[in-house]
Amino acid sequence: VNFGRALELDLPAVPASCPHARHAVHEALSCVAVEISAVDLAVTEAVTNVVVHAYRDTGPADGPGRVRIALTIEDETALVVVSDEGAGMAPRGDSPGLGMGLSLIASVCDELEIEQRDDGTRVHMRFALHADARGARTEGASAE
Amino acid sequence: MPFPFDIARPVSDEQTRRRVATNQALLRRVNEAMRFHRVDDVVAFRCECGQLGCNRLIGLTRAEYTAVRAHRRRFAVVAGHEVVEIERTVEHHDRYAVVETDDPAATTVAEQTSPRQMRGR
Repeated sequence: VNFGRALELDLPAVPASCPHARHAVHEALSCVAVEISAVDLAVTEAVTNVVVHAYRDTGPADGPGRVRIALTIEDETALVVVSDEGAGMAPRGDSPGLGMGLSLIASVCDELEIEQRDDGTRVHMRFALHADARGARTEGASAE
Repeated sequence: MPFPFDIARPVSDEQTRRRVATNQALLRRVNEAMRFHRVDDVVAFRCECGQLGCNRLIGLTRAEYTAVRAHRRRFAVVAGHEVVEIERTVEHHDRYAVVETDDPAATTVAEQTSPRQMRGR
């Protein structure tokens, strides 16, 4: 089963983008049997991390920065990649937040990769499709 | 410097020790997800102290991180974030410290959730 790219979003890194992204991914997965509450939580936390942390060193004149969300259905999984072009993760003592976002993400997704790149951070979150759903989607694809 | 999170609370009962150990294991899973692009990069990792409210990051090279992960009961933490009720400090470095669990409950959690052990199954 390979459905390819299902969704691409390019949003400002502002608080309103957190529910926007969650709703959009949720809607895109409405016909896919995946643990949707896990996806909802992980997307919310990942986008929130971008909003809170990624552009903390940029000034108001620079604008809010961007957060990009890509959803791909591939290899019997739903892959969500949340990326930014911010300052990246760096040790500092004044970082806001409770520090639970990445732990929550790690606890709900089946595979997690965090790329710390020169041009920003990419969080790859993979969620397995339910076994019965994989069969159903295969049958559906064959009937088309 | 006192750690202003729940390290102030006593980690006296087994349930609390298990909870801190479980948090440590989850943070280890987060850190296992970090990807290096260059061998000599210093990459940011989450402090693995397991205390609620700690959001500190520490910088480790691939070699430093791999050395910590070579031991199932060892975790990399910000210096001063050790939880003495469940672990002891075994290494001091400029950017981080390494602790090793010695409490039975915490040790069980650390060993059973070790990613290197799970890969070997």
